[in-house]
Amino acid sequence: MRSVFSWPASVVAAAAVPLVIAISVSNRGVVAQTIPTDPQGGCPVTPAKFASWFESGTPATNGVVKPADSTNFPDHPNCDFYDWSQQMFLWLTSPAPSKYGGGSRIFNSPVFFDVSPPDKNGQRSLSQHEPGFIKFFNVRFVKAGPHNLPVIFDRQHRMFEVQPAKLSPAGRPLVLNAAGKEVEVSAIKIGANRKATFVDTASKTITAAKPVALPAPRLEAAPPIPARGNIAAKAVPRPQLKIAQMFIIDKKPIFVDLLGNAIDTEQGQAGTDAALMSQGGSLVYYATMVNDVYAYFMTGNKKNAFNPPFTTFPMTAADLTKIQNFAATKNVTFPDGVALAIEVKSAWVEASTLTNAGDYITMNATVPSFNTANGAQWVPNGTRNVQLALVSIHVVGSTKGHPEMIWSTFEHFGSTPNASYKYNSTTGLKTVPADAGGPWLFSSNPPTADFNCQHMTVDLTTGNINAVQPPGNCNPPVPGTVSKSNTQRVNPWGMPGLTSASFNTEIISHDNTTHVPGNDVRNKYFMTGATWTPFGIPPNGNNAVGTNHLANSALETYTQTVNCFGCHLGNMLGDPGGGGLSHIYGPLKPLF
Amino acid sequence: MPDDPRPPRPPAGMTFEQFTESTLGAVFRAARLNNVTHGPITIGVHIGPGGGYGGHMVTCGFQAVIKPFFTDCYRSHMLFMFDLWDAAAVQANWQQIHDACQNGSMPAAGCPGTFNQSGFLQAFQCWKDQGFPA
Repeated sequence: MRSVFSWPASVVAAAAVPLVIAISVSNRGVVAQTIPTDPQGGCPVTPAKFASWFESGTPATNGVVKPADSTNFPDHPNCDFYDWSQQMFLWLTSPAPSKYGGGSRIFNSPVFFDVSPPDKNGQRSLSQHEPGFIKFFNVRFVKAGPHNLPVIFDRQHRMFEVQPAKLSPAGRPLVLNAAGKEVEVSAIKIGANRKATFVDTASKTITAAKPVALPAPRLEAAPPIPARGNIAAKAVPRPQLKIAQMFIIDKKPIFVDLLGNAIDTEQGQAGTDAALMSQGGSLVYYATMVNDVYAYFMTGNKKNAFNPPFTTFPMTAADLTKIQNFAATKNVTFPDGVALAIEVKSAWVEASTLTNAGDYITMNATVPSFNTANGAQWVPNGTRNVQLALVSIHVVGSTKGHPEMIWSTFEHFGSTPNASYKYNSTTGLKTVPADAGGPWLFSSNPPTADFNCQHMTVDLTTGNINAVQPPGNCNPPVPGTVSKSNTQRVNPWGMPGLTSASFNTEIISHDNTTHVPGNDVRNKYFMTGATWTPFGIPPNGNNAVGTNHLANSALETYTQTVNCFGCHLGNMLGDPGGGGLSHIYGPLKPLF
Repeated sequence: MPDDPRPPRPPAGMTFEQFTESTLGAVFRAARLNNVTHGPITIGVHIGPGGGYGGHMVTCGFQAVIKPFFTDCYRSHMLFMFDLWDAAAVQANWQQIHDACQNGSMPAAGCPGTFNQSGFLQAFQCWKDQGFPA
């Protein structure tokens, strides 16, 4: 048995051990991405273990995979976490047996619930999934801060949560002048010292101007930050929320902190709530779903059905029994309760824009339609029913010992080129250069501009998609139209690629040993990493382990420098306003 | 060669990641020099990110890791015996606390919240194994 905390065992050269993990990925029908086939060590999955994941006990094309037993999660870092993640992905995307009540895939069955977007009161609702059809799709935008506010990053990679500037009745942004009076702003000049100078409607400088402070989200009490390396453990409060205000002047956003300093945003960042378009011209849509255990857990907890109430997501068989008993009062049984609480967030493109739609998991959906006559601003004009193809998926769930949940992510092989990375091969340390070949779903080949430059943002109040005005903090300047762009996976395996060979090797070796036989569409997707906290301690933005620089190139395109727990932290369930660990738990209304 | 009982430590100025990689590189070079032909070679039982917690240098300090498990309510229930927020007191009663949490008699019923028994027992063992860091 592996020791959790021991240093690596003394280096033992156990020669004559056959290489079992170098399996070609060619049978995955790779569109563009490839995974090294010669990793040394890491987290290879034994054939016996892989076979045990299948209901039949034998891996087979379209074979049904069981969920990982989260109530008996073995909890040995790091491989057990990757096992859990991969098995859950294969389970979710397995053909649904009849016990799930229909649906082509298990996450496309009535065992799952679609999560609605927030209503006018900020509340969300659950709707039992209708097989083959997701009800709530929206254009993907990034809105992921710890307090459920949009985020931007400055050039030092510091994250700011963004509030809109207060507006006058005429719709102009307001600041406070030296006398503390609100004054309309017509222009903003940024000085060499990054100090913002605000100009009023009479073209006069507003002296000592400061943004109008708006009510800030409630900050949770911060758990201490664990010691790391030579830094001693200290009871340090979580860093204060950094708030920026966004001023829209001449259709261009300008970000200013509450002291009036302009924020020099990271290259590519032009605004919040960025939308993404594929090279084929499809907007990227996203959906959030939860499983039955999550739905009844949330409902029971909010209905005070549990005594004592849960303050974390369920972890044990005893927790599951309580939820099962509650669900039984509604004559509901869970076909796979041992999965515990599962949350799935997925990104999709229109299948009609793909030349190889058969290489994707597909589903029908209703999505917003737009009047595209103005290339700089698409205006929603209704909905339409389309077939969507899955490009990315977050698989998140609670387990024994991990109420903070394991956060893992998967992407399609054809989606995004990788940045350069290293890994341990059977012939020593290898460096894989950044991907150039394609075609890629989210990058031209060769790339015609910088990677990860926002081309458009979603106005969450109107639903309009607004093109970023050139130059858009990019070189060369963005085109100023709602358009496709070049995306790169910054940390290919969830860690800084060139300094994390061992972590990279773990994921690579794991991916190499979890192929479903034959031409199974699940093989078109691969895991890029998983993250959690040691011992399940509350995330504080600084204590994630595993591949703790993990981001999904289609779901977090423009926020790839922050780990899941950089935003999902605080209340171990979720705040009513949408912050906390789960951004949907708080706003969700009970099922009944 | 007998195992060196000391845990491997990165030389000054070298990250653990670089240290691990350089160690691997040395082993592979040695294998080649000695014409080890029956490879590939598997190094130890876990050559992945070694050290600490799955390759991350996690110190199981009382303030950072242990104390967050002890809520206000748990502490109040135990104050008649000792203070769960006092590292010295918890260290002195380590075995009793461990056993009580393992057999489920602690934390006592009546406090709100969900106790992460599995995570706590791992963390508590880690705190002891690391010499009860603050």
